[in-house]
Amino acid sequence: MSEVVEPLGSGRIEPRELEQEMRSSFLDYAMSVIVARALPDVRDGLKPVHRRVLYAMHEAGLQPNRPRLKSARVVGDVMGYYHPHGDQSIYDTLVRMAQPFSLRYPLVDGQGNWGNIDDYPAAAMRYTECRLARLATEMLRDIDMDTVDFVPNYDESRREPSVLPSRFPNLLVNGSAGIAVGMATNMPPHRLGEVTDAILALIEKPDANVDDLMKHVKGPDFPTGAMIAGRAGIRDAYRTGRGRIVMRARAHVEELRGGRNAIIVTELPYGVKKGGDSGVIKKIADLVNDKVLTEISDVKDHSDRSGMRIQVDLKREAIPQVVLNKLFKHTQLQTTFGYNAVALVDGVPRTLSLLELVRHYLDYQREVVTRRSKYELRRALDRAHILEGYLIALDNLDEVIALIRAADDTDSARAVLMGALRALRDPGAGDPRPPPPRAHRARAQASRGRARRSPGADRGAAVAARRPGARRRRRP
Amino acid sequence: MAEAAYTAKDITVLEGLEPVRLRPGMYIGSTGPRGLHHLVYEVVDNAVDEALAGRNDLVDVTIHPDNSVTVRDAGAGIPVDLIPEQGLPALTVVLTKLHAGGKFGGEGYKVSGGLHGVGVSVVNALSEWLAAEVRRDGKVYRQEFSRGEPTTDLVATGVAAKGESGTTISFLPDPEVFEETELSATTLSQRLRETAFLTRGLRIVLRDERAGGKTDEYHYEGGIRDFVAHVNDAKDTVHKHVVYFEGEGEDAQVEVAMQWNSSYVESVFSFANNINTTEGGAHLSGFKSALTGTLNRYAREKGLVKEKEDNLEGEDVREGLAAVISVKLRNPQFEGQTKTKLGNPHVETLVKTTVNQKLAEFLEENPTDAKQIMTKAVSAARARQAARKARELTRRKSALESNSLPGKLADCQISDPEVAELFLVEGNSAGGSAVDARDRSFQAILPLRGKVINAEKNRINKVLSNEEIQAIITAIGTGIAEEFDISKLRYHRIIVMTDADVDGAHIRTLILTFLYRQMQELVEQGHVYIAVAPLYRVKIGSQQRYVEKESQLEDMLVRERIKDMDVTDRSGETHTLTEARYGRFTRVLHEFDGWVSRLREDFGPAAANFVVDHRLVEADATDVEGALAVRDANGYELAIMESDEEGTRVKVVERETGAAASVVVPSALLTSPIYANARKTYARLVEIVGSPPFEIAFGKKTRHADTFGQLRSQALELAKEGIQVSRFKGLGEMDAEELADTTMNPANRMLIRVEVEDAAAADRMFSTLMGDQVEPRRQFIEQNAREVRFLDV
Repeated sequence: MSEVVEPLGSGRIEPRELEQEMRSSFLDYAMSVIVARALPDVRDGLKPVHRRVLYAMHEAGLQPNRPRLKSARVVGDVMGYYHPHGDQSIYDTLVRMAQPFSLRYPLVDGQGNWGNIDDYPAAAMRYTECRLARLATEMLRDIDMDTVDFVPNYDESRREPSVLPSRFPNLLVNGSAGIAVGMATNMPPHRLGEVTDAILALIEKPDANVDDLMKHVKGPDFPTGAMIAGRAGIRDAYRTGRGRIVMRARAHVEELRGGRNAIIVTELPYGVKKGGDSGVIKKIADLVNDKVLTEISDVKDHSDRSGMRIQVDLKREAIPQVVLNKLFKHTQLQTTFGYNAVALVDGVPRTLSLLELVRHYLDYQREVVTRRSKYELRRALDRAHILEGYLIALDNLDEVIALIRAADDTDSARAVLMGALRALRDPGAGDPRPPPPRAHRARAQASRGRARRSPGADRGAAVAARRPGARRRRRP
Repeated sequence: MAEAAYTAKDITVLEGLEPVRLRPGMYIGSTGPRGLHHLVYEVVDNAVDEALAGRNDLVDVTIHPDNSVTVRDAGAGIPVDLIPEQGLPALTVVLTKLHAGGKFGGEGYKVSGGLHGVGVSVVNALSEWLAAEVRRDGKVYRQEFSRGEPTTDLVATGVAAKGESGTTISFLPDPEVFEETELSATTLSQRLRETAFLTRGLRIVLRDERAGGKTDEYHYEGGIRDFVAHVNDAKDTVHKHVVYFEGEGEDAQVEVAMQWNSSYVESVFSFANNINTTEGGAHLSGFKSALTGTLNRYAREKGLVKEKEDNLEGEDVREGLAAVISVKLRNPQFEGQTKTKLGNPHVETLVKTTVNQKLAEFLEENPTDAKQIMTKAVSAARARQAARKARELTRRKSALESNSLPGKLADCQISDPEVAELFLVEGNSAGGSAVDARDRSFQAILPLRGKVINAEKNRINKVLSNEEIQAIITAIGTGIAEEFDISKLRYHRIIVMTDADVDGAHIRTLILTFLYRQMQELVEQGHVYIAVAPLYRVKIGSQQRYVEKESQLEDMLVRERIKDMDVTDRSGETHTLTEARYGRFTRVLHEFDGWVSRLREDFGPAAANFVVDHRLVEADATDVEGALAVRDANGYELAIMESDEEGTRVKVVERETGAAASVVVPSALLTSPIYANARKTYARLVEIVGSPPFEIAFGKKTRHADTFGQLRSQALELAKEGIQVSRFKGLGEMDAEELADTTMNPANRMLIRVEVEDAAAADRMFSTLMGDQVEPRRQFIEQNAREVRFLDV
């Protein structure tokens, strides 16, 4: 073990005021939870853990057309490379992203038991397998084209993206929910088509207002279906960023044998559990036992492969609509979604209206596309420069070969070639710009003749060969 | 011993202000942040004295961007006439002679006690420069000083408006004396607000001219009544009317304000002559006994407490009480360890009599409030009895099983509490390392699993039934709350050792909350410490060093590497980044960043970034056209699209790729004083290292930097190449030997001792941060987001 050269504190004792210590420690914690844990970024709609899961899966090559990989391996990658926290919580995140009743447009394609709406947990991570869902690849498309900034990971051994290119509006479409410190967020999912229309509308008419956008985005679209009662809550939510949206189960009345009626529930409000101790069936049963719902004779869960079906048998004289209203009043068959659109804008949590959400996304996509275009342009320019070099070399092949043979080593050959070829260049046909700064590296690559470049080099030779007057030469 | 050469020649008498410069701690408390802020309080206290004497109604405090301070009052103005015995004007004497001032004798109550009242000459001695201006008798007088010595004579510099008088003192704390010269507006504002509460009607203004700073004004006609309302701001109050009354005796006055809230916390603060008497004293004892007595009498009278039931106890009656007792007296005697306990026995009687009489009157005259208060006190009494029974049961149970300490405690061998230390460690992973790393003769380890229960949000019985809490209580040995007996303390040092990440910080706050709320004396007596684990391990060659703070890492990199780096600027001029140059560079860069942040706040990030990134700041022009004409090209083409009196829209085209964008530069930006200051600092930066862009060379390696900010970050990156810098995320990452050497071994470690100087502030902080109300917490976070130390993942 190497020596410790300097004693650190030398036994020093520094006083600190209690109030100051509480303030700074608590702020560190609160800020970290707000900015780097519980709240999503407005641009890609992801919290850091989600982003890291998607990126790790992308790095591991888990594309939709490749075989699935054991979930434990994905969790291990995420935990070791990017997310230094517990494995179970990472797996829980992965599971949620694969559940079609949790995410309106799931981002993970899973094989095996990934849990169900009766709150049965997913199988352990050593059993399940997964890969990216098709739509998730849109989140990562163009990430290798300098579209987003990368930052060092927690131990500075790798780099991770600070945000994903998010080529579809994930925040609006899949929503988000999180409890931070001193604030929280709760955003419902929406229909991809409606959100896209709203974005297009804002492109067409940059000074559009919330009402214009609301013509396209009618309201949340939950993966679990059901109904929304009343538009007032939706309007408040979209205009101000906060609102109470009343959700109701989808139910109808059927006549059973013997002239009795039953209420059939086929869709539950988002987030409501069907079975289990906290489920709605148990709640109805409890209310019947407590004599609050006296008109109900039985509750059965007849859900199967074809869908959900909760059958609430009513007694003979019961009026179905009245019972249904009572159910809405006393059970989770009617629940309120407390819409609270808080997301990080430039690292600062803000409450956002629908207009702001769409505008931030649009501005971000403009930036992504611009950066991608710049990247492609630079790459094309680099390539053009190399091809130019080949052209010059091939036009003057004898001189080039002579210079190379006369040189002592690779470095001096390169130096001499660079000087000579510049002079040999035909000013009319060449590029009038001064050589771009990366030219040195491009030239170095050309002269080293890397394997990757050989297809291009062949093309260069073919092009040169086709030029009239060029002498066919065997390449050295 | 051999003949010592110790004669009269070896005795020195320090003259004038020399003793202050030699032993600043003696006069100002410390040379750390506390002492630094005390300078401001000392000057402000003089203005407050004028207010107490009825001659002043305004104190204006301004923090300037260079961290100098100006304090202005509208009092009578320090006298400028000659003091015959001294042969100097009074102003000069007051500022250059120790213990000179109008505090000794004379009428009125002055703020003088403990560290207060040492005199503004101490401030002068510890300031790089100080300027005093007095407006009096229709004239303005001014004298300037440096480190206590006058640099000018007292001269009349102008004419003052008729009837206008007052003193203005501006000073810059001496960086040779103080480690840190950056003042905290938050610290100052809390203290100034408190002073405004205690000095009814006095208007105190605090202006922070630095980046992101704001102006606050504190003015409370309601005095301590408003103080109590403020303490209860984040809480639900039990009754409507704030109790308020005054009393007067020989040589002393007392004011009391009280209001009960629905929390379980007692927030009683006492002051004598505006000095926070944290150790209490005569006035506080008088208050407490009178309060208990009066409420018991009222309760019995109205039948709320039956004959055979026990009396309400002090703690019952004070549960949820926010109260301020402020006495003003001539010649206060301050006793106690930190000189914050009031002696003067006659004050006890005065307070007692006043409270007995006036509180009883209040209860009679406000029966609804009285009923609500009594209900609260009675329910507190009942809850306490229930909790006591619950505690007895647990104690009896453990006595039956075994009178032993918690199984998880790895105790130490020596039982002498003065030597023994207890480490409260986060989690079992760190616990294991700590047990291996400790010196078992005097260091005990208690691992705490998971996050400790929040003692502020939960009622006492829920907190006490928590296993980790029970383990802590048993290990420490003193008991809690009213049974707390400091003589039973098993370890004189309770050291909180959590991971260096944000969850560790959170657990630290939870532990401190429990300790402060249930074992307050433990914290006040300075028995609670925080261990400082290293943040980085740095390996340079074969040497390995540990670094605790980010700033230390930078210093190390400068010393080892950066000092050999050369920087070539745009014109080809090269400078070496010596320690001195780099130090100047980072200081001025910090200032520059401050001005740019202000620009961003005032004019928006787009415009502010534009003028900096595209080097308009280099041009001495106040309009866009002029700036564009002179600026140096940087790979972008700029052209004015349109312009009006509001602002100018500029088109920015990146030459290499043709990408275009546009930016609106408000006209106000270029003419603002902030921009002028930004330009000045930019020019200073150019003087130090040249104009961007830069090429940094270190041996054979080079890096490119487009801006000053990049110059710093690239230099640091380059410095880190080839050396291993690993950042510690948790204590479990270190092996036992490392942990021992860096954090636990008394010879090498650094500890932070938790001190409670301002109990009122601590109390407010705990209820805001850890209490059950969300909104005050959210506001706190929003307002303080800038001060975050580091962001962790």
